Amino acid sequence: MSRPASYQGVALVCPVSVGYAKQSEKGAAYFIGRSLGEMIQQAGIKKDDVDGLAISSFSLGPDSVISLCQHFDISPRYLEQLPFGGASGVIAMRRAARAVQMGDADIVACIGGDTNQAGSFADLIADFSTFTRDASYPYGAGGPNAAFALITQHYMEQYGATREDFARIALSQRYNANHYPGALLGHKTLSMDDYLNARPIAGPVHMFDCVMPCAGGEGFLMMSVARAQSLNLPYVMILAADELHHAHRDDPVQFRAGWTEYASALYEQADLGPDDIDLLQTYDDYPVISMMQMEDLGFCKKGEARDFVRNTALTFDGHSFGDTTNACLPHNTSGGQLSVGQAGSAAGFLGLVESIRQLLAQAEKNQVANARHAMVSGYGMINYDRGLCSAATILAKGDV
Amino acid sequence: MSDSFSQSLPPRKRTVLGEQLQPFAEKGELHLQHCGACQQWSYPPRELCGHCLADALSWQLCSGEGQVLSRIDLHNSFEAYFSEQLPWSLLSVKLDIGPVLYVHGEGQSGQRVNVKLQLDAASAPVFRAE
Repeated sequence: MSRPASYQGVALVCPVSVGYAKQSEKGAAYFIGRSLGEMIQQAGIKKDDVDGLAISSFSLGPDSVISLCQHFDISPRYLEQLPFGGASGVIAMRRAARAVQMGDADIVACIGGDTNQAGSFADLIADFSTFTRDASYPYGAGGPNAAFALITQHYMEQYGATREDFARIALSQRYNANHYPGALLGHKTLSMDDYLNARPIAGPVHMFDCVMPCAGGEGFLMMSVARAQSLNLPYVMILAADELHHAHRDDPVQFRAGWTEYASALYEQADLGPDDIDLLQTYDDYPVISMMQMEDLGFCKKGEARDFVRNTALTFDGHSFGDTTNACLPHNTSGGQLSVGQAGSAAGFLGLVESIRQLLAQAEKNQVANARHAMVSGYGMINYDRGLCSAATILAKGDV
Repeated sequence: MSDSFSQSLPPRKRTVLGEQLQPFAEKGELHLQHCGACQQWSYPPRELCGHCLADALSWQLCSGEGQVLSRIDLHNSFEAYFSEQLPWSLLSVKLDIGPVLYVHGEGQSGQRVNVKLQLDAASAPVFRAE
């Protein structure tokens, strides 16, 4: 099988996170447009310098990416809409990188943005897909909670992971969020007792395993390295990236995803190993999924993520919520969706945007010291009983 | 089903394909989509055979014998019918003939069950493990 060609020559610049709110009366175009406005201001370019849009949104309908051209009064020559939820950020990045490499666009704005209006989350899950309408929703299994509860229960029975293990992820992320001003739950601390005594939601899934739906936008600009340098913009490079969807489709219950099929190739292309990764951003729509990513991306063996999180400090500064911590892997360094909030498709950009900030040393109180290499993983779209999308990338700070 | 005190009804909405289970549920006969070309079973309902893409699916009587993959109690629901009766038990079952179904009913992971097609309180088709 062929492998993705090099991503050489493309630069990720101007990471932005905007407008986070628990609810909003504004529409998705607001959050996407504010992201675009903020990134062109950061870049010091004109609106019309952006000639490509790669957009993800659940709540943009009945509009689409082409509608946004009129909303924002722009004339792009490259458009992409990516309905891939938690994998949309890495996928948008891959598409936009190729567009820039091939000359289909000079500057692509990659943005995930969604609103969260009263009742909109309930509406979304009531009719998420034809399969959920027929085969999940009539059983009370509307939305991701039930599907992930079944996956979590199965994972716990199979590998002996406990709620305390999941808590180590949630507590570490809350600690990170306590140092990231943009996190909607960053003003609250979370203790092991809080976590364990939380309201039950579905099976082993309790309150602090679930993300809080919210409104917000996340994005970055993609351009050539030469353009970034001429604009004096510090940039991040893509060392490797790949995606694979609906892998392992004969597994009766999901306990792994497509990452297993390309993780080692990513490391090979990047000429790095898991030990060289300074920060990891997984898609944390439930801690068990983060544990799956730690396994499938090679940080530990399948089923051993429980030991990994017991023995590894997962905070940005090495503060530990484990037992006998002897290693550190800063994970979901802004707090992840669990503590920042899940702004629809923007949540699929959260880890990517945060990684760009970290590698450019533009994070504030939650800055990881000496962050050189980041791995970002995406996952999403619970079409029925499992997440279908997988994507991952390894990023590095660009040469100045 | 302990719905005698419930004011609300389960969600009635199905796709056009999902609605096709209705007459079989009324008779209590388990049917799933079977492919006349490759002889495999498909679920959830779909337009073409999920295995060989042949336009050869038809609803056929089948065995409900299977094994519980995972089982949870729901403690939260956006639907009044379920939220009035929490906790609500939910199982995923792998039928011996192939497909994985979410079903109502009781059981533990690994347990053998027999899945039936029935009408729920909204007179809509649902699967239930016994």
